[in-house]
Amino acid sequence: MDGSERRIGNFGKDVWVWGIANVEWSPSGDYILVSALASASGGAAYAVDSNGAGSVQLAGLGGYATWSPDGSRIAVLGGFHLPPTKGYQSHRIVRLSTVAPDGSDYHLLLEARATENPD
Amino acid sequence: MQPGADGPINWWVLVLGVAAFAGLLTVLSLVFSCDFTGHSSPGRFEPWRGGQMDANREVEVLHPSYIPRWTPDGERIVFTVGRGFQYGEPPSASSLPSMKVYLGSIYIKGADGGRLDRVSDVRGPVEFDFSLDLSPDGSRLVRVTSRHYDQDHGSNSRRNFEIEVSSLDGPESLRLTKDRNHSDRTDTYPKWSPDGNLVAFVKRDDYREDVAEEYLIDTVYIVRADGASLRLLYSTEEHLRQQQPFTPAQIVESPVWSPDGRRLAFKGHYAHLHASDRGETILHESLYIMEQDGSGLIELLRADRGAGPLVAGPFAWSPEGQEITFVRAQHAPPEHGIDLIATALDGSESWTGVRGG
Repeated sequence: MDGSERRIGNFGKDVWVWGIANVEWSPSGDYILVSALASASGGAAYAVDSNGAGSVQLAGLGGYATWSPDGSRIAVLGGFHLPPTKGYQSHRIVRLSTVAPDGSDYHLLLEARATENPD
Repeated sequence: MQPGADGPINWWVLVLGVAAFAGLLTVLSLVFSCDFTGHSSPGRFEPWRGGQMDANREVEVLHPSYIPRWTPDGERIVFTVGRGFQYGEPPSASSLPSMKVYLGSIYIKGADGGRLDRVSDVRGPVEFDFSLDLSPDGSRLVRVTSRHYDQDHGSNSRRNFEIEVSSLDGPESLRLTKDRNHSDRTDTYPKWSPDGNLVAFVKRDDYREDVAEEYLIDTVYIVRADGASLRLLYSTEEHLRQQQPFTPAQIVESPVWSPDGRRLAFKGHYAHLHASDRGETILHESLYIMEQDGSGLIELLRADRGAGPLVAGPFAWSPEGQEITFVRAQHAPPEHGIDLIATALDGSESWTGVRGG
């Protein structure tokens, strides 16, 4: 076994993550996309400088993320729980979105909702 | 103007207006409706509609499942959404066989927000597609499907997950695996080689009682995309027989091709399985690398039980294939953060004699 390791980054200290959905290098090799899953928010996604120079959290996005072929966009398939409020049942929501790697230019492509415990 | 002189004109305006509105509704419904309801609004669809409901369900979960894929031209995104009854987490290959999944379909959405199409021809309640991968040229999908459940084993049989290749925009499909006599086998984690000629996957022989009381036998295969030349690269059974002390099981996950297509990396963990609840106690986890022909197996990383988890979720080769990049698993408080690690391949020693044959 080879113990030669380098730590590229440490981030995501504000999110209680229970799983990693994807780790993927950008087409240019400059960034590494890390997307994580979290129960309440649905997770978080980060574009991490491959040389360890920092990371950008893609605001409000979590789930299964992947680079577009030219590296100009990131698609995120995420799901989260919407708790019940007065007069409304809880929902499970799935969204497909795209965003620029710097976190700007967010586009919601579609959304699906399922009612939980629909008695 | 005489009173009432414009009455007929208003009626014509009303009739024309209603007709135009009806036409507009028809066009909008064609553009934005999904297969299940026909009542979806723009940017929203309802994949849980249709199929058989389970009256005994406790919690219904609509979950995204697996990583979406862009077509090479960047114009469309292929993705899977499933509807199941479990348990706070998206499905994995190990959880799916025991999971009541009623619908799971593959869709294509225009990356600019345009048209939504459903690729899967699932009919529920037992058909389910998941774990998709798109060929490098974007023309073909490989996926795991349960659609062969009935025809292979009858309605009282367990699901039999098989791997299929299909065209992205056409009806053509080809079944790559066919375990007619083994309904407990799961074929999963299909991954295209970088040249689009081969598919690597894991075959899970679920709970073979002839080997031990509770046992998982995982194997890694490659097969040509036309279904020919199926080749076993790695067998946990062979591997385990050569290890002392003997460990009762190993589960293999996530074969990933190196960028040049010459090697495959995959995760494995050895575990005790508990018959009562199908749970497991992980003894150690490892990350392996081998050549495309199954030779030169390397245990690149290893974490024993108590030493902390190893690799969380998927991992990636660096673009030059010199490193494996991964998140170090942890269940620490969030203030610890996510550690992104790269491990160099140089200097690793290969194991010998652990090929499956």
